[in-house]
Amino acid sequence: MMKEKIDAIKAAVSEQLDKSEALQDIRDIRVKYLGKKGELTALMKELGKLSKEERPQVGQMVNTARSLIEDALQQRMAELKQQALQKKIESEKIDITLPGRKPLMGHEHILHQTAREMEEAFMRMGFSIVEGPDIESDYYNFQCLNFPDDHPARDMQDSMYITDKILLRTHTSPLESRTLQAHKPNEPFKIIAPGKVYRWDYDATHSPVFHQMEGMIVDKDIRFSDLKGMLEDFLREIFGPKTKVRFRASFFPFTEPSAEVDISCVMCGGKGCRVCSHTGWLEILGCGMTHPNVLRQNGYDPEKVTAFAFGMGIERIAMLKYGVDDLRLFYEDDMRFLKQF
Amino acid sequence: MKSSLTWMQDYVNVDMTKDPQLFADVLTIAGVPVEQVVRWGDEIKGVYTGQITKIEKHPDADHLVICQLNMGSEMEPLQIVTGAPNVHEGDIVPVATHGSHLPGGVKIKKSKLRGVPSNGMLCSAHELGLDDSLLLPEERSGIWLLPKDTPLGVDAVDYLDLRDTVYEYELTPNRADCFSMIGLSREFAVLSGQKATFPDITVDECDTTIAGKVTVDIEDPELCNRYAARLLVNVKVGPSPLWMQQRLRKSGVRPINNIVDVTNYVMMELGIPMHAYDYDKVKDHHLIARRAKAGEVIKTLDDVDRSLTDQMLVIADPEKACCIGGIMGGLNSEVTNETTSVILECASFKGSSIRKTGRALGLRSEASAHFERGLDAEGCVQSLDRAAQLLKQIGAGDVAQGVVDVYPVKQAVTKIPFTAAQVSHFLGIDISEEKMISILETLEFGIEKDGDQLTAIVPSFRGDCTEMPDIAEEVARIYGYANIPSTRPMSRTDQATVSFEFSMREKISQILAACGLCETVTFSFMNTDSLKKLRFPETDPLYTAVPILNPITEEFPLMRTSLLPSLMDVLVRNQAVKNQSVAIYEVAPVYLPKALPITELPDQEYHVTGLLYGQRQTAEWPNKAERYDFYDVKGIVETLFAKLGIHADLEASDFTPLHPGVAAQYVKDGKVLARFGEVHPETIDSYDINGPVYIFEIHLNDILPLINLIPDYHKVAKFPAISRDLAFLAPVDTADAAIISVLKDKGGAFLEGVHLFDLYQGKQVPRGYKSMAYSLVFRSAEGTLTDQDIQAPIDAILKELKEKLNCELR
Repeated sequence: MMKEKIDAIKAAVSEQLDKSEALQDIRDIRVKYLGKKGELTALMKELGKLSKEERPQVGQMVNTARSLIEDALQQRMAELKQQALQKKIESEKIDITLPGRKPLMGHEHILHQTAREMEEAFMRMGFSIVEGPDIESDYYNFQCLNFPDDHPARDMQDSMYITDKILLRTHTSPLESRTLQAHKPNEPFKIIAPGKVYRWDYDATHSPVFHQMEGMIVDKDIRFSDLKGMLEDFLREIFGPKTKVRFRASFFPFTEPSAEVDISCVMCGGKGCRVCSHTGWLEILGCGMTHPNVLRQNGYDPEKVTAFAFGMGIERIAMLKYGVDDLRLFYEDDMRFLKQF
Repeated sequence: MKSSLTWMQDYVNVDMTKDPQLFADVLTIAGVPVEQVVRWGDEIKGVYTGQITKIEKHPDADHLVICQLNMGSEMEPLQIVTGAPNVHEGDIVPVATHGSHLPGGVKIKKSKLRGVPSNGMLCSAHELGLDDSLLLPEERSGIWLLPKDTPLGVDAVDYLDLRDTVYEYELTPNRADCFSMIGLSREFAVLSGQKATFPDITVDECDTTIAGKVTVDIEDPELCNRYAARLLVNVKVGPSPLWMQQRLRKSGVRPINNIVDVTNYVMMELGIPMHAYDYDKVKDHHLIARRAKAGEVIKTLDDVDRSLTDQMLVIADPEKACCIGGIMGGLNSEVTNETTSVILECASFKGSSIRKTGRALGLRSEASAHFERGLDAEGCVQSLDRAAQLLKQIGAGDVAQGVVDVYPVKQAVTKIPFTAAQVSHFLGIDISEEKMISILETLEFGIEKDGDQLTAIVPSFRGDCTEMPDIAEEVARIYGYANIPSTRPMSRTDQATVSFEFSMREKISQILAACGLCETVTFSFMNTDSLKKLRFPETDPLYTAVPILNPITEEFPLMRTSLLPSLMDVLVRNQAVKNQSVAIYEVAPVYLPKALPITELPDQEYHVTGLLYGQRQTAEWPNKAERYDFYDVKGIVETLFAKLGIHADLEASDFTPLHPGVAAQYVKDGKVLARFGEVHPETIDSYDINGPVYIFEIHLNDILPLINLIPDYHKVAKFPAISRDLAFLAPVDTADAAIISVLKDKGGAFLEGVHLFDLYQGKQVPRGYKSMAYSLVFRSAEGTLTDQDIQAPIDAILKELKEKLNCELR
């Protein structure tokens, strides 16, 4: 009798669970059969009417049924939750190809970024940064650097003059003489000097204003081999560890011996291409052992210390490193250019 | 400088079977840069010499003739039709035969010209690859007429020395000695382990003697320190031999006549330019090296009257200037076909003076290019002798006995003491004394040895060598820079430092870039017109700018005193290319003279300037287009100051470039730290800009002492806050700052923060009023606040706003 009732409840629950669609349906079924006034609970209350012998047996049957029903409810509940989640996820699908919201970002100029990269490389090698005036005296710009009075660079045709003794510096090299003079005689130092320089030249490949970085190291026993090693380290840091570096004998009034330094072409790796005029090499900087006259003219004794110096164009390095093929882009400040770096 | 490798063979062995680029690279790395390797005559095939035996008119063409050619005993005669007007029977010419190749990929084949068979082509010099600049005008158009003694039927490429390799150099100014075949051959020799051999110079003199026939006087030994001359008699002016002409052409020099060609040949060979005067045109046969008189005029060989200054050297006879020394001769003493006697000059002129004269006159010649570098005065007589030898050899005339040589102060011999150890230490590599001596001796340095102490005796043509490092360079470049090891300097200074100003500029740049601005790099120049357009009154000190004597363009005559003109120019350029949005900044120096004209270096101070124009946000999904406004520029200045820890007071600004109603500045202790706002509409108009522009300007020196990079740190609160939003109806002209001031003043100890979150004017509020909604946050460090705790301050705020600012709670 009780068994039939229990079986009927089980069957009814099973049927209703099959029909259930929402979590609320499950809750309703639980109330209807397992709640305080539920049908199975009611059967439990009827246990008292049974004989002592039947009571434990039927009680166990009811309890078993209860836990079976509870399991079924839980299982269905889990199923429905899973279905609901699935639905929610499906309904929330978006078009991931729509554009991302761009944060407002500014950009430092590529010449500034290049200069900083160079400065950081040199500072790791212990070089201090010094600066000097753009409007410079002939004395620091030429005279202290062993330029003879009648050197072509001292003609108006090549430089921009303010008076016959004051001009726009034509290179960052006056920082060599200025720094030597700012130190006690023969005091060692290591400096780099970034800055603007000026030449009377304005066409597709020359700008009247451009940027250079000078470097100088003075100490006892500075050798030509040190110049080679240090600049190789620097160039490989800027252009990558596989960069080949070549030193060519050259001439500058303020260094002796002097060298021009080439790196293997950044475009073709040295095979030869248009960028390197099919030579495989790109000229990158000038350098040399500081001329004894420069040391003497600025209060140092070339018998006691030696020095080397180097100078390079920041534009040149930026152009080669980033593949910028037109110098004028650096100063036109077109937003389409500035935003790329 | 150019050098033909076949000519070079006269002095040193050149392996012509090897790729000429390889040795060019060796020279380049050793400091004798070869800019270009040019192949001559490679493409020419099948061109032979032939003699025109008969010329007939073409039956059907007025401008064509039919030539019969004797091609020598080995080849069949040829019939060739030509249109060239300069050929005659008996002329010997280069003949491109059937199947021949000419420069530029031209192939010659048999053909018929107006019905008459033509079996090739008669060639001009141009068609055989010679540049017009290397030919006399009359040689440029017609067929190349070869010397009468030219053998027939021989390969023209061989006979005309057309096959060659020419190195073109880009020499550094210190190596004047390399401006000659002899100088270059020394480099070839030392770099290929040889010793160069130089021509044996002997002069076959005639009975006449120069003594008493030519006299020379140096009046200005500073500009001319040696003057040597030789006399040539029985002169027969005519063309120089083909071999000499071709060597000159390969050196980039145009052959003219035997006299001039020999002087040029010796210049290319030995490096010292020479000049030839018609003996009979020089008054008293007396030459004087003197400065020109101011305004003195000479007609030079190019038929131009040249007005001279007293800075220029002339070679004159007692009456007139005959030559601008070292640059160009005068027509009045020119060697012509009628000349029978010639004075040959070889002198040493001051290089810088030659350069300046050449520039002043706009006149440069191969000779002046040589002199400009500074020449070896010791070589003058040798050059004269070499020229005399060649002139005699080619039958141009007879050489009178003797040389007139005025050489007041002999060039000093430089001696450089050094030791091998010293040079090795300087270079950072051990090179044996023996090796060093061998390198230096091949370069013609003399060596004296006293134990370890060496002395290099510098050859007269190496004026660039004066000290031990010069010796080290010679050794290093020949030993090979590549063979010197790479080491790291042993330095006693390892601590890198950087100035506070430099690092603050870097910091400011990074903050401004983080604010969304792009950094510009502009030229350091300006003009006063831009200052006017920016409405700076003419009394403004900004107009006291440093003028450039020779500005690069008329647009940029001054060193800038403000960055604003530069940024406005950037804006104009961007507007021209239709860029919708310009948000830029620059941190760069301005140049402030203490007084004009300047006698000392001006002050150089950094300005930090920015500009905003157009769309902050373009219409790009999901964002709507938004334009920059005043509050963008203000926000940037505020952010910059906040990041730099600068506290200052805001006030309205009277900065003239700004719109008077949209102009603000931050002030501290009476000093303006930053000016910003909208650019005045008049300025916008004058720049023809479409729409408002916002700018800011900060002088770095004003803010540097105020920078404090350590932020005002506040502990993170432990207890929750209470927030209240209050909206007020305020008269339209009420300033946000005024309300904020009341809120802060009356907000009590617990008021932690306050900000405006809505500002509304429109239908919902009465005319003359606006709605301003503020969010107030109260918090206690001691515990959680209740509504009661903040009621009193809110009441006080409402009362004060009502009474003081006529603002009602909405």
